[in-house]
Parts: sequence; structure tokens; C-alpha cells
Amino acid sequence: MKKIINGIIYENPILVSTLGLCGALAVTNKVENGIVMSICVLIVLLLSNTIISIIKKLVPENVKIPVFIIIIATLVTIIEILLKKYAPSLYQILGIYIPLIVVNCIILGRAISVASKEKITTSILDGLGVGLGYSLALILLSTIREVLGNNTITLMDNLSAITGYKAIYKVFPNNEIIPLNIFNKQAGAFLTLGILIALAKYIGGKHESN
Amino acid sequence: MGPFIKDKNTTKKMMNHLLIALTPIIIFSFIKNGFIPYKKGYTNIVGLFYPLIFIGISTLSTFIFETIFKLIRTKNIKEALKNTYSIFPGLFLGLILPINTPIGILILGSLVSSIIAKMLFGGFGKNIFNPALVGRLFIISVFASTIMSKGGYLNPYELDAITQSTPLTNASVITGIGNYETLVRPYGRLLNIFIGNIPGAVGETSALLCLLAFIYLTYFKVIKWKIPVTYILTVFSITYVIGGSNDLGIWYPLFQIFSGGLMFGAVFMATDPVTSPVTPIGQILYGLFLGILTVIFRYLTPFPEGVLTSILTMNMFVMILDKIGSIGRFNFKIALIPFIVAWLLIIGLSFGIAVTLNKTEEIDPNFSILSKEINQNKTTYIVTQKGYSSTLKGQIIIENGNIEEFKILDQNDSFYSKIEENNYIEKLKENNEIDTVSGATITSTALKNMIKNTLNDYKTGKKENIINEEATKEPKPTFEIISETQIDEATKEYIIKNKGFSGDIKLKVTLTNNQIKEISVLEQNDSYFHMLEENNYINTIIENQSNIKEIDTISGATYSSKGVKEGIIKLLEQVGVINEQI
Repeated sequence: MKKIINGIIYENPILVSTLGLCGALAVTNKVENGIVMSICVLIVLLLSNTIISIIKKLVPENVKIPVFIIIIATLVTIIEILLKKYAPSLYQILGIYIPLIVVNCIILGRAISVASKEKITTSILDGLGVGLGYSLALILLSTIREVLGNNTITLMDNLSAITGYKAIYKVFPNNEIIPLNIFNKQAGAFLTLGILIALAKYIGGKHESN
Repeated sequence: MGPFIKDKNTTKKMMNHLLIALTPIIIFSFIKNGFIPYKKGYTNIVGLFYPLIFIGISTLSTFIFETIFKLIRTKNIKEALKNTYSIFPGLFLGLILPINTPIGILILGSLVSSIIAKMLFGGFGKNIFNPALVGRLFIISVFASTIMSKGGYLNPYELDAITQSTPLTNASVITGIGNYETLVRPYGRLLNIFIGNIPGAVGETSALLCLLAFIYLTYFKVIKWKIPVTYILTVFSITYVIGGSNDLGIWYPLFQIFSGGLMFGAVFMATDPVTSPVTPIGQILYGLFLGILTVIFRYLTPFPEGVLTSILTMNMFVMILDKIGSIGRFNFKIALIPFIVAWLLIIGLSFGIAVTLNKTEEIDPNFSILSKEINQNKTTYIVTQKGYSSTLKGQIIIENGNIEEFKILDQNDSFYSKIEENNYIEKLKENNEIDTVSGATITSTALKNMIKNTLNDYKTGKKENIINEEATKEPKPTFEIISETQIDEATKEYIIKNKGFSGDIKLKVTLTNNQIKEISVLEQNDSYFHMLEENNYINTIIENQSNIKEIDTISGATYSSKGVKEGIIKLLEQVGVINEQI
């Protein structure tokens, strides 16, 4: 349990270790995209941690990294194909950031530092924790960006092909200031991310001094 | 980076002089944005003092924010209230924003200016970017639509009475380079723009007052005079060449330097003691590149005003410029390189932009406009263009800049059928840049030129109607019975010919007991004849042959359907089925 909390708070991949930002910034313009992206990363992380932890004794030291990358790439390709088949519109939106999960530093980093050294259960829990931390950060980021930039919260729009229903909520009914267009673009993503990281450091610092 | 060598006393004196120099500008802004609208009845007492309230709020906000920040840091009230000229970012910010910025957004901008752009970098003397400009950039990027929806740069009097945009926004919507009529006349004379009685930011508009402030501040050795002098001279020279090669007088470069808040930016923003170079050579280079960047941003980007972005960009290079300046004092050869780069850029920009703006489209001799009818947003052209073996006559309807309709009224080019097979007319309507049809290249190019020349006239031609009878004359139908065959006792088969739209229509009509039993189309040359088949026109005629004259024509293929219908009517008249003119 402690491992999971560790992954979510103390070693949150986006807010503390600031890894894998490129995918996070690009897809978080709507809440739904953020959720889907984080689910993809979570699944890949869990599976890759498990597999790598199982085979860790079989892999020689000098081909560690290529082997891990092959495993991660296989998993990501499976996810990509599934996404392409069952939610093609979402696949279009997430675009190139799904294959980019392969080189996402979070997954490879966790694989090298944790999964190739620890027991299977530890690796699984660690993967779960970091994945949940990533999801939390992504959901937070995308909520702020979408509320401020588009005045809606989209929970289920492009996935309606699978689940069959739509859920888009409007937040502020009549507002002159919101929506601010800048949050739909990358500049807003950086602004929000910067403020979130600053907040995280502040809360983390306060906790440490306690 | 900061004012190293000066001591506390001279810094205080500098800031006092700066305040004195800004006072006429503040008063002018009060008169222009508060007093005049109040006097003319466009606003109330609050509106009278609103410009002063506006500037006051931003000034006070930066002071408060900075004090709170220092209080949190040092936990010492005395330390926090020590004077570090925290009012200046706020004062400048208030002067360079649009008057219709909501107060909440103004305060947020002050927060960004004082805390993010100044204190977080280390406080007074340690910031890289001009804090007021960072605040303005933040506000404009994030809240532009909100501010523009409340009126943008226009105060209440300008909103109602003048409804002009700022001079540079006006200049950017004019096609080409404009002239005195279009650039300056909407605002009065050049003198108006010099004095500053034009729409713009709260305090940025008066070039005259900025010039006076410059003279005052230079006399008291408060600002780095080399920077505004080189900056403005650079912009003047480049725009002088641009204007000169387009036959515009000296008013053009003067217009460019008096508008867009250039004087204000050059005198107050670019000379900010903390964020500008210290060495003389560095200052000159700074001014040169500021001028170059401003011209690039004004002419080559879609954004009309370039002063803010140029200054912020050059802020990043101040350390390098100072390094060059300090080396250059002893080794002038090294410092020569950036000068050469700057001169090359200046020359290249001047002539490059002049040539691009000067290119006048030559009128195509193979093109002529027969008639042009302007109806609000819609313009209907009938034009001719020389084709392969004949002259193509076309009708083009342009609405709001897009081609709504394009059809060929008359042509006799060989291999025109290839154009029709490829549905080329429709494709050209969507996109004029597609490839020609192989086997009919000359006709295709002529069609493309027809559209291009018509669009050219739409954009730059005179906005008056051209009426030409010849253009809209209906082609007269010419009828002929080619052959008559008796099939059996009661049935006769006629082959008739009647003029359709672009050519003749040949029909085979079978009459049994003077009733039309069958009509088949043997030959036709009309582009839109397929619409008759789609609308089942032939069957309609056969079914309604007793009152054939009441049958409507097909819209979009009027002349073709008319040709068919009237051909058959004429046939029925000639064989005696219809024996009177109805």
C-alpha cells in the first residue's frame, strides 16, 4: 500500500519527477482524452512491470534496455491496434502520442529502476502506484484546461462507440471571460503544468518540514 | 545587468525625472480618454476619471503585490516597504493596455508583472524581461477575445463616434501598401497621429509627448538616448525605402514611427535601465535589431503591432550584446560582425519588402470582363478568356470572397468534352490550383486564368457595375426539322434540331396519331444536359404533352430544357398538332 501512495504522491511522474511530459501536455485538452491516455499508460506500465519482473533473471546485463523496449513496444502496439479497432475517432485524436508511449520515460524508467530489481509483487504495486499518479496528474491537468479553455467537461464523447452514451457537461452557463482560448493551445498547457508543479513542490515541501 | 555603477541617490533621481516626464502623458490620456468623452456626453463622472483610476489601480497593485511578496520572504515590514520602485511596472502596464481591460484582468496582469516577471527573477536589477511588457503579453495572449468584445482599444467616444480601429490594425486590412487616403485620412491629418488623438492604448498614442519626454530625459542624462535614436532611425530608414519605391512621400515613414506605440516603447520601454545594454556599442546594436525586428513583425507577420514582441525578444540578447560591447571597446573588428549582419538585414528587408508590395499584377490581355453586377456581398461576373480554338465565355458569381457559382456560357474549343468528362468546372470551383486536364491543357489553363483574373478584379478592381447587353443576351433558339419518316399508318418519326445552350440539340420524336410516343436525344452539346435526365424531363414532356407550354424549365439547365421543350413545341406547331399561338 505504501508503494502505491509513494507512486501517487512522492514520486508522481509528472508533478514531481517531471517525466513523460510531452504526451501529457499534448492530449489533455479534453478530460476524456486525458483519461484514455492515462488508462493506456497504466495498462502498459502494469503489464511491462510484470513481464519484466518475471524475466529479469533471464536477461543479460548488456542487452537489458533493448529487450525492455521490445517488450514495451509490443504492448503499446497491441493497445494501439485495439484502440484503432474499437475507437477509431479517439485513435485519430490521440494520434502519434500513443506510439510515443514506447519512449515515455516513465515506463522505461520504472522498468530499469524497479521492475528489473525487485520481486514481482513489488513491481506490480509500483507500476500501479505510478500509473495512478500519472492518471491523477493527467485528470487534474485536463480538467483545468478544459474548464478554463472550453467551458465543458467531456467525460464520454468519442468513446461512445464502445460504451454507447455521451456525457459532456457545461460548467459555467453564461460567462464572458471563460472560455479562454489559450488553454486549448500548448501555451495554456505549459502554464497550467507549471502552476501545478509549483503547487506540488509547495505542498511536498511543507509536508517534509512537518 | 542592472544599473551597477549608479548609487542609490542617482537611481532615486532617475526615477523622479521619469515620473516628471510621464506626467504630461498621464494628463493627456486623462483628457483623451476621460475628459473628451465626458464633455461629449458619452460617459458619466466615473468615466471622466476612469483613465486615472485605471492607471492608479495597476500602479497600486504592483506596489501591494511586491510588498506582500517581500513580507512573506523577509517577515519584516520595514524591509518590505523599502523603496524598490515597485510602482513603475504597474504604471507602465496601465499606460500600455487597452482602456477596456476589465479591472480584474488588470490586477491579474499586475500580479504577473510584479511577481512573475520581476520578483521571481530576483527583484530589482535582476529581471531579464521588461516587467510591464510581460504583463501586457500575458493579458493580451490569454484575454484578447474578452477585451476585444468589450471594445478593445476604443474609449466610449471613439466607440460610438469614430468606430475606427487603431491605425496599424487599419493598415493591416488594406490590400497592398495603402496610400495617404486609406492610411492617414481616416484619422485626420498626419498631425493628428503625431499629437496622438487616435485610438490606441491608454497612454501610448502621443508621439509628440514622447518626443518631449525624450528631450527632457536626455537633457538630464536619465535614459540611454542611443537606444531610441537608433531604434527610430532604423524603422524610419527601412520604411522610407519601402514607401519611396511605392511612390509614397515622406509622410509614410513618419506615419510608421508615430503609430503603434513605437515612440512610447522606444523612449520608455526599450530604455528600461535594468533590461537594456550598458555598453555604448551594445546599445546601438540593440536599437538596430529592435528596428529590424519591429519591421519584420509589422510587415511579415499577421499581427499588426510589433513593438512589444521586438523588445521582449531583444531582452533575451542583452547579455550577449553587452559582451560584444565590452570586447568591442578594445577589439573593434569582432564587434563589426553583428553590425554587418544588421546592415545586411536592413538593406535586405527594405528592398525585399518594397519589391513584394510593389508587384502589380499585369492585366491578362486574353481576359475581358463583359459585365459585372455588384449586389451587396455578391458579385456576378460575365467574362471571356481566350481558349484553344475559341473564346470561352463564363459566368462567375463571387460571394464574400468565395466562388459560389462558375459555369461556362459559351465555348467552341476542340476536346472540350475532356473538360466535361473530368467534371473540371466543379473541381476548379473548389480549388483553382489543380492540375490541367491532359488532352485539353490549353483549355484548362484558360479556365484557370479566367477564375484567377476574375478573383483579381474582385479584390482590386473598381467597385462599380459594368453593364453590357451583349453579355446577357439570350441565345436565340433556332429550330429545324431534319427528317421525317413514316413508320406505319399512324406513326411518324421526326428528327429535329433546336439550339440548346452551347450547341444544338438533336432529338428523335415519334408521333403516333399526333401523340408523342417517344423522344430520344440523339445529340447534344450542353454541359448541364444531364440535369434533364436526372429530373426525368423527357418523360415529363411526354406525360404533359397536352399542355406542354406550361411545363417548367429545369433550373440550372434552363437553356437546355428550353431548347428541348421549344423544339418539340415548334415541331407540334409545324405538323399541326398545335394550331395556334398560345
